[in-house]
Amino acid sequence: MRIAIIERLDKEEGEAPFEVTYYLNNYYKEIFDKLDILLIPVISENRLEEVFELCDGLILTGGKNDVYPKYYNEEPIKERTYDTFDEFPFVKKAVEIFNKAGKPILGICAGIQELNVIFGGTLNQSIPNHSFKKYNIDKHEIEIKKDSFLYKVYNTENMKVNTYHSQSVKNVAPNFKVTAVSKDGVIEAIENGNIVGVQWHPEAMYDTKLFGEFFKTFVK
Amino acid sequence: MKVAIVGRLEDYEEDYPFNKRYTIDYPFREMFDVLNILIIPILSRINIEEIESMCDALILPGSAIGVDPKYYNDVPFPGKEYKYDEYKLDKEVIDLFVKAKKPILGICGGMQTLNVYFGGDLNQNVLNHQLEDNSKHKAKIMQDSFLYSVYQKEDIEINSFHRQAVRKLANNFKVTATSEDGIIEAIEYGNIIGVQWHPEALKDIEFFDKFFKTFVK
Repeated sequence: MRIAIIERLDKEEGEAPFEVTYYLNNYYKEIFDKLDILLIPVISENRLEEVFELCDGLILTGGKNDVYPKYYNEEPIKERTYDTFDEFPFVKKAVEIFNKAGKPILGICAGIQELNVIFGGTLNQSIPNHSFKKYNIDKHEIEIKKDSFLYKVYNTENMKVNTYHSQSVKNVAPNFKVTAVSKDGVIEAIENGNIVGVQWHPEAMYDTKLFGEFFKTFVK
Repeated sequence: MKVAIVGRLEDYEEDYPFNKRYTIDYPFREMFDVLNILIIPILSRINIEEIESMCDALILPGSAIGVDPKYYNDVPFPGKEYKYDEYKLDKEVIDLFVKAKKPILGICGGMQTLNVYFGGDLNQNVLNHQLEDNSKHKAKIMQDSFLYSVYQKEDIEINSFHRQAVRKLANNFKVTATSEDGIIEAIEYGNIIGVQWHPEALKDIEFFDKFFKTFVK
């Protein structure tokens, strides 16, 4: 099995000419080593069709660059500026290629937000209390809906997850259902068949089970 | 054409818990888009055989860490820390591409890795080779080399961002460029090329294009 995974852009000021890099967190390497799955990181929209031919599924990782509100027909709220990299067109193209052929797509953190916008939903541009910095110590409770992929993975309606985000799903994209919410009502997961988005970072919890179950369930 | 590039580990402490990352510098993407080459980044030894079989060449990019001197029977220069061991993965990937006789390009730390892999060693404390962005120094290219075929002249100017350099040259390699202060700036052995500067940061498309045109069968 081979899985395509979107690398994210970041800029470290003062490091020129090496300040702009594509990156993938080490967590993914460790998890996919355990699952014995070859990751094909994707950094360009050039020749995406070939990446698609090579791979059985797609992961949208979390990133630092929020989706510009123009992509869901809203204006930036006043406390928010969008001056970072615009990764949306690239991610959208990858999602469309994989979705057209019915290959599974998993969106994580910024990835769930991108999925929601790509399929017609909108985002809250600023939510409080969902960015916990104490790694895997600070967690919050979420409620998982029965009859969902997530319930199949965890076999429980209540679980604790990490949280590192300041935006979230507002209007859910058509045909998607909400399959997890936090106690304060933030949408934590959406699903539509083999397209799944989670608002937390399962990779940073070394949640091999979620990734393993995702590919076992959806890769044909 | 598809080209494998080994991702480089970096630790961005301020981004904890997302601090440890595999990175590819942006200029590679820009240049390889122009050349219409698909980049396949390598992060792990899991199934690298598949990557070797689908790719036409390998690039070992610069590293923020460097080759642990234990791999050439030396000890760390005082104060120098080798935080992560990237050499192990580099070595396994080089093994595969060498066996398949596919071309390998080592850039900066990647050239140092190649030199160690093939039996050479490194000077861990080179002075005056950490220039500012956009600054350059002179290098002299040997005739009858791949580099000469690229630039068609003996004197070129290159950028410089390194603290280590080739000391004892690896077996069978020849030095094909040196700086005015005597630092080895390029080594070659058939379709295995190492350069101590960063052609990608100079957006030197001609260099990469020539590399692939010359060596990819």
